[in-house]
Amino acid sequence: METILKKLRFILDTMLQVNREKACGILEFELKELENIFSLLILGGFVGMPSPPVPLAMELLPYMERELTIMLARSDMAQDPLASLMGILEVD
Amino acid sequence: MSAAFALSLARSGKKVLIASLDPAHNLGDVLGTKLHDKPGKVEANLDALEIDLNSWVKRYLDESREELARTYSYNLTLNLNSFFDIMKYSPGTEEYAMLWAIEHIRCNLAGDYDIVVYDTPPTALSLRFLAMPAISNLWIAELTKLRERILSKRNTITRINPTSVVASSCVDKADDKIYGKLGSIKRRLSDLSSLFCKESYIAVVLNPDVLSVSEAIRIKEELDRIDIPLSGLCLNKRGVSTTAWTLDRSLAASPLFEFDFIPKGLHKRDDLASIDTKDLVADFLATKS
Amino acid sequence: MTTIIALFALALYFIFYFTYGKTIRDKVLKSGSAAVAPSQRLSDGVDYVPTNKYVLFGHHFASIAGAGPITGPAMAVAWGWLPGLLWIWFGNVFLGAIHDYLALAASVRYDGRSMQFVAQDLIGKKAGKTFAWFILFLCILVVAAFGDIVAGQFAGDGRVFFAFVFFCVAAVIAGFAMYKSKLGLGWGSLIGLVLIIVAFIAGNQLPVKWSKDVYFLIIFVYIVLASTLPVNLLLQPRDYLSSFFLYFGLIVGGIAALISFKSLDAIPIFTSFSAKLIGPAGALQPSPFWPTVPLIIACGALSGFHALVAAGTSSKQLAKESDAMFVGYGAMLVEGFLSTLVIISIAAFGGLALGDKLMATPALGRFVQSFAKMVSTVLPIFPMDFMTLFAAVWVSTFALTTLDTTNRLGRYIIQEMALPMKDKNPGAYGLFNNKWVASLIIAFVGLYLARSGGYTTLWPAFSGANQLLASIVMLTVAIWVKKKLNPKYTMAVLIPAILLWVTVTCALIWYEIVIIPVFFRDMSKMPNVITGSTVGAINLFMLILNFIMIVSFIKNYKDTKATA
Repeated sequence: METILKKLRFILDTMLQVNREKACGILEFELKELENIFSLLILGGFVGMPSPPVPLAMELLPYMERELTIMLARSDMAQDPLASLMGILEVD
Repeated sequence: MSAAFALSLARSGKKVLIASLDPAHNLGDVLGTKLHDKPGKVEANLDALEIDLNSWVKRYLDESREELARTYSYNLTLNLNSFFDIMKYSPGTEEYAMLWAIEHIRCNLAGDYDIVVYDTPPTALSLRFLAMPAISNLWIAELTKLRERILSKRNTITRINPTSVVASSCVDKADDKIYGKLGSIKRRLSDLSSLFCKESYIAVVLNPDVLSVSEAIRIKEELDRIDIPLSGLCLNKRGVSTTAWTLDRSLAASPLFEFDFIPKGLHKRDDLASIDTKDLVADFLATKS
Repeated sequence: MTTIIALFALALYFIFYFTYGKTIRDKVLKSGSAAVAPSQRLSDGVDYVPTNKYVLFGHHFASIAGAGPITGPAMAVAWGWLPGLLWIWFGNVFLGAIHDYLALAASVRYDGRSMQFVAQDLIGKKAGKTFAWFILFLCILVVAAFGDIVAGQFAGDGRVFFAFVFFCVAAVIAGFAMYKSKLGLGWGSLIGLVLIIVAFIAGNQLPVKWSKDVYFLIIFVYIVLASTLPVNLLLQPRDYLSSFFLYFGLIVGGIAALISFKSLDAIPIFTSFSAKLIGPAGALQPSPFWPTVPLIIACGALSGFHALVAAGTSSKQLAKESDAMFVGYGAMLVEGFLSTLVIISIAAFGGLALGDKLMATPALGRFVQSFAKMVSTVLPIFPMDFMTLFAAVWVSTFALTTLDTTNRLGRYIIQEMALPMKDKNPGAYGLFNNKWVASLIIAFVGLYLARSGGYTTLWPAFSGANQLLASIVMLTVAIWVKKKLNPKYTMAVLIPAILLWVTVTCALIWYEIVIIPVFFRDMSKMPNVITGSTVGAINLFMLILNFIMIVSFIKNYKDTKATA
């Protein structure tokens, strides 16, 4: 009996989690893009883009660890974005 | 010009600091003393210093590097040294170093004096650093808005899905170091902006020739663009040549102070006293009050 | 009887999952001793995030389930109820689910890269370009097919339109509640569900009688506008709320089918090998079950889209490779079950719902009425009125979401493909690069085709493109098994892949020589001629790309030395 209840509890938890992720999936995708843009705007000066003057970027750099990770991940994705877009855009 | 002005003020009883921002560093020669990065006494009420821009750039970069070392995980600091060497050549660093030097003087030294006189570098660099706060402010404002948007989205997602990867990053404005840093940069720049626009007396020195007048007009246009008022025009070396020239109408709005050409030149400090800065000083003190 | 069929389907899927699926996992992929999955190895807290396999399953299933698994089977009953079911069952376990599973696994082994990348690596550079073209055509054709289906749905049942509109309003409000206010997910969902009920009631009270053309226009405006809105306004909350439709539909449908015991007598078990299914409205042509079945039943049995979705986000989130069986193979089987329910409901309750008019009703209407009849008969707590509206809004929502997202995707692809024009023809490039222009192209071409072609022509065209994509993926995966996994099992994947490729190619050639000419029978009817030319050209272009691809494939297949 107890194991059945435990299993039910597990199923319920999983469904709720799926639910939560469904509610935010597209938002999360959009957020990562915004963070990527933010990083590019600030750090673009390092790669020759007309971005805020490098000194400003320098001041913000120490706090941008996550932003740098996202920027790297996104620059990878930008080469081949079709897959991720199809995944998030519910085309089927 | 600025040396004469500062000397005159000092000898009239005010405590004056004159700071040379000019990389050419002529000030020391004119004042007859060797100048350093810290205020040195010239005479009774007059202290002088000259900014070593290179050391300010280095200091600025070193501060950033230390902060990076503190914040970043070990791996990332490995290649920082060589990276920073390249950094010091990047455009914009000189202007910023200049701004922070001025800020340092204003915050840490100005309290000891009644007046601080700045001998500015050549036009190009001066206009750039004067414009910096205004230009940067727009960037900072937009970046701040974008950051707020990001934080609010993170907040929304974390509220709904606490196990999302987003949860490990900052969601609150108060905790976000980047937001805080953007805010502090904004404050520093506004203070400097206010210093340039509202709390300063800016005088442009020009020579009685057509080229100099054109340059002065361009300076005025630039200053108008960044809302910095031109408080006075100093016509230097009047009579040095007989070539005809005229003062353009656009410059007519600012009071003009004329100073004769001194044929024998300026060799020592007391020679500066031969430049009659009475009117300029009077105008300055009038606007100051 | 429905119960037996439903149980048989469940049993079949279970058996194949635990035998065939396991064989693939243990013998072909050897997932037990595979390298650590990229989600752990390359974990970055951004895209590579190891996720619990149950949560990932739900996510993956929700991504692949749409209006597709419903539309195709609803059309296929014209052959009788058994042929379609056979394809849904055996096509799924031998082709579709394997296709999904191996695509997911290949992507995992390629560090989460897309199918395009994998195909390019194994078949050649041409494969990459082919993908882009296929997806562009798919976007246009899906707009055409779904556009006609939804417009037909709106025109057929006047209550659906406003129910849908109010549902969108409900989604926007629920979105505010969940994302902007402090109410959170629970309350926001509750508000959303309550408003959905309100939307249904309101739709019920406000039936409208507009012509199909009016709906085409509305859909056109909707596509162009909706795809420019920020995602958190409408797309995200509506997407979230519509997942409740899916769960509800699947569960009540499943329960109703399992306990109904009704015999499948509304439709004969088998009508004819070449029933009239495909063609312009009013001029349906005899369509031989082989090779044209993939042109009708795509999702539900096999779908190229799924490979793209699997290799998009799912592969980067698999905690370990062995989970791919549950997520890839398993999700597709569940979709197969959904399609089974569609056929069961029409075959058993279609007669009660629509009587003689069953086959004359458009495919979607057929499903809506039969499904509603099944649920309301077996579970009287759900009245017929409510269930028909529910089913109609369910499918329309998924279809309209697809229209919105394919527009966004298609826009991007057009801009990407216009890139080479940048230097040679900057004027044209500037034009295509404009997002409004790109958007209008897709919406306009799609809906024009919809209006003059009808879904009986366009759904098969869309399906054909989809299945061609799937066959390229299957061929890619076959080379992958040969080159990188275990050449001993190559035939197990290659033979189905070749059979699929032959079938789909024959189907599309059949389509080109039998269906397209029908449009030119009366040359005075301009819209028909234009439609026929456009669809014919797209089809031909895809066939040519297909042949270029197979040549590339054969060359690469022969060249490679197997590396175990």
